[in-house]
Amino acid sequence: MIRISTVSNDAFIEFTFPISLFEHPTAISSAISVLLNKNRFSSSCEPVFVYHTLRYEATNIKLKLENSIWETGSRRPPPDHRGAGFPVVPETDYASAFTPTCGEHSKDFRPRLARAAAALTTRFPLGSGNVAIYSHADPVAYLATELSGVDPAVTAPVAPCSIFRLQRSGPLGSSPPFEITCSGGIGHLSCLGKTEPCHPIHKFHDWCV
Amino acid sequence: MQNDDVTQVVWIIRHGDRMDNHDPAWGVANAGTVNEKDTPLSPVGHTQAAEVARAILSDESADRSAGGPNGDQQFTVHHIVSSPYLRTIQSALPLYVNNDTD
Repeated sequence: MIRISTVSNDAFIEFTFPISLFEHPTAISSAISVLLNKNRFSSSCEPVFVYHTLRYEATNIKLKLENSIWETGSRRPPPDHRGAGFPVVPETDYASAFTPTCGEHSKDFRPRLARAAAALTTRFPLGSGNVAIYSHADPVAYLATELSGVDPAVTAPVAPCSIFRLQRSGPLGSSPPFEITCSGGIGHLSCLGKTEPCHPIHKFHDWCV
Repeated sequence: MQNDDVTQVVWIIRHGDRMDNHDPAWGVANAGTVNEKDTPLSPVGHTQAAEVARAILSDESADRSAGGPNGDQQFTVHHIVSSPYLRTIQSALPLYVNNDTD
């Protein structure tokens, strides 16, 4: 087992590798540098096989786990990753705005994300700071459009790790709409992977024709 | 924009490449298990997660003085919100790890 402590905060991540992978020290080194070393992000997809068995254990990861933005059409809740298998520690005082109904109909996707967008706007008003939201294809598209007022039909497809960047300005206490300043950007990615881009309205291949 | 206006940036990110898409054999091997509907990131997905973290943290037009729970101005990102699925948490991890003072 390799344990590495980050320099700048109390969080640490443990990497556990099977013995056989120690035959590939370069790949292991690349994997570690990708995740931990500032300004030393990998520019390739070399450490492919390492990540098969990579296991994070972080004790001070204060992510805000938000049920309202989980995958559309889920038939059951996701496992609780705060348990022993993946001990991410969320902010203890953060509670999800709401939890979607499992087995929701597709016609309920957009209204649910509209509700989530409204809740997030209330929780993170102007002046509360910048926010990064990690979610799934349909929720990403609907959150971006609900927050900006843009018709979802004209947004870009949502590729894995694509970025929708929204920005707004105004006096404290106001709640101006967001403007989409980057729609589905993928210029930062060196690899697109095998997970296809999605669009909540258009079939992706139709969209590209 | 007035002088006393504040700016807020929100990045909305889809999770990275999924393991079940990357390796169909993984999907077969995990059929019927808890992993089937909660796939982790693929190796490519982990790389993408690191790259998206770098892109966000190098977003120089994001106002670091936008606020934050403690008025911290050393952070580019003040809040990281994630769907509770494994692939989204894994996608967010590199941003958390690297979102510190330069």
